[in-house]
Amino acid sequence: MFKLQQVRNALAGGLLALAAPWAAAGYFQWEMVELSADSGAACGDGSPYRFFVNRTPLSKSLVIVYEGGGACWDQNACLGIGDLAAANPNGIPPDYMHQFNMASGGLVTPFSSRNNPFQKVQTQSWNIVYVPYCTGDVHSGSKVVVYDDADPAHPRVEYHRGQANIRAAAQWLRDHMGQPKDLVLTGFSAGGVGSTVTYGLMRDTLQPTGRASLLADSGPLMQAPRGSDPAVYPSVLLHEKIRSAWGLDEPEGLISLYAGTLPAFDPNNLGSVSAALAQRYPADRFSFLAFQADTNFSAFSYEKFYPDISGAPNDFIKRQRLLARWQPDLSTWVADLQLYGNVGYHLPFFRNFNQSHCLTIVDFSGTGIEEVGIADLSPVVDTTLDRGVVMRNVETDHVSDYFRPVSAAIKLFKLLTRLLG
Amino acid sequence: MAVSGRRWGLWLTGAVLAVAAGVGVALWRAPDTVDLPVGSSPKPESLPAPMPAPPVLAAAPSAAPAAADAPPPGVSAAQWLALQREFAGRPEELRRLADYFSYADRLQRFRDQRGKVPRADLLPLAQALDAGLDERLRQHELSAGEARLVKMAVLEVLLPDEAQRAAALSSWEDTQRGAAVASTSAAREAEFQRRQSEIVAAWSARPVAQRDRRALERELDALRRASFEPTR
Repeated sequence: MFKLQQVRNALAGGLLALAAPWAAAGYFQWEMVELSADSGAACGDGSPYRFFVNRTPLSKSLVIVYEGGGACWDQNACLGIGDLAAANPNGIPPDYMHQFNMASGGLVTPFSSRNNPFQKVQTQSWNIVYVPYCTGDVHSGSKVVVYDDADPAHPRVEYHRGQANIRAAAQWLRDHMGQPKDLVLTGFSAGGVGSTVTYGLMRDTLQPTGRASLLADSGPLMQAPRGSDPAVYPSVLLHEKIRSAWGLDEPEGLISLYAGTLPAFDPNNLGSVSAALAQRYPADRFSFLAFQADTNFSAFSYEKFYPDISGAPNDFIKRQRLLARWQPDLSTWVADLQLYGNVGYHLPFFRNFNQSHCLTIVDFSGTGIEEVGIADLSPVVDTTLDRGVVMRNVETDHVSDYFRPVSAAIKLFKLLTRLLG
Repeated sequence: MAVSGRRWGLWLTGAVLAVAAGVGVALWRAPDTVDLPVGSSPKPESLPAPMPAPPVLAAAPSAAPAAADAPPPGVSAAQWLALQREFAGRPEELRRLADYFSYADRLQRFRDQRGKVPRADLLPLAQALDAGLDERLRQHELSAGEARLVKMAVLEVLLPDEAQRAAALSSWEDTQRGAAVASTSAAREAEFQRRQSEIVAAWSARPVAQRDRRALERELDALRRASFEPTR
């Protein structure tokens, strides 16, 4: 019976693929898919949403990489102005994969790079989908907003349509590529959040026949019950802001969606989504990654909400104040995560690159927790995908990482960034 | 030879049924494909089932291979045969795939040896990778970011001096940027932005109490649908 259903699905998918011009796309080539305006998909500026597919005939498994790149809930940030802004304010051009100024400075993760000279991961031999980020809403929003707080004469219309983009992309993938064998969702920064909050949507649409896993890098959804004390739950102010700005509570919003799909989700606590996913999909694996000294995601989380941070007299004190909130927030977060047998986490302390933000960009160097014999992130990735022991690693040595050299690749990347300004 | 409409319809129906049956049988018999990294030839006992060939090609077993029979590195004989069948009418695509597999294999060997063998031993691989990089980028087999990583890796071997390396990388990126083709979608998106600004200006001019956000969203969505026909 099961096989018969597989055949039916494959036939349906195959005939659809034959009917689509995309079926002519070559293997091992990055192909652009532009989603129809009818689907509701859009970039922040209203231009069409585009994503990219790199197929292989040698595997039925699929990895989907969610791009990161800040977030926005005001005019300047949505226009890409300032340090705490959103990426790709002018949308995703058709040749995006062939531009050097992709989001996050074109940083490539080993998951989105089939031919990576520095870092090997097993998903490089799978079908790869790259989901760009252009909506300022960590791939989660369902609202169109007119922002005019910075320049009322020239308002910015922002299509926070992240959820519609993921929904339409998922359907396209199902229609054109069928059910994958194994499925991995991963993403960095805003993509780490996005891959988490839309995991159920993507997974339920694609219905993998094998294993499904999440590797969410540096996009933690902290515990933050509504109305709680910010001194105890520092992310509560951020969560309150984005619920409203991105339409998460709208009738079509993610929180409304969860009511029907994630029974353990607490609508008064966005941070409950990780645990709710673990319970909804007990055979899946969920691994969360972050640096304890991340001063980028923490800045997005707190800087615009805490005057003592935004008004800090210098960068050193600002960093201290950010981490004074970030690290307790992380502790509360992992205390909840460790209650679930299919959830792991890996929290090294510091990497001298990109403000200790994101473990999976360029390569895995500097992501180890040496005190427990883990040289880098690789075993965490492998045990997650291969169903090995669930790893829960928190680095307690907060000194040694400052003295570890970065890899040659990261060193050259930093040098190039300095040269190019 | 002319074919009447009825006969054509019958032929088409038969062909579709044959295709469906062919795919069905192929899928029914094929276990889940084993995932193999490109570059690792499978052992005979773990040979993956080839991906089902497109039905029309599967129904034409006599189609002659379009390229040399020997599989390129990293591809099993069975996989290569399946690809030869799939692209029997497109020899240029088969050649591209063969070139790609060779390049990917070199890159894997380079990655595996990097940091483990003296720099001089890596030179031939680095030179070959460098020489083939622009073509692989042109073929859209590498993203720009991915190609940049490859360039960084080979320059690490080819140019020991760090400053020279950074300058070479920067110069190469400038060349690639110059070769980029301007987006053909820019004009329609600019027109959309112009019309959107008009709608939002009219909406903003109303008293706050009369600004219906959902009505605005509907109007903007109608404009989006009118402006953007799917393109590829």
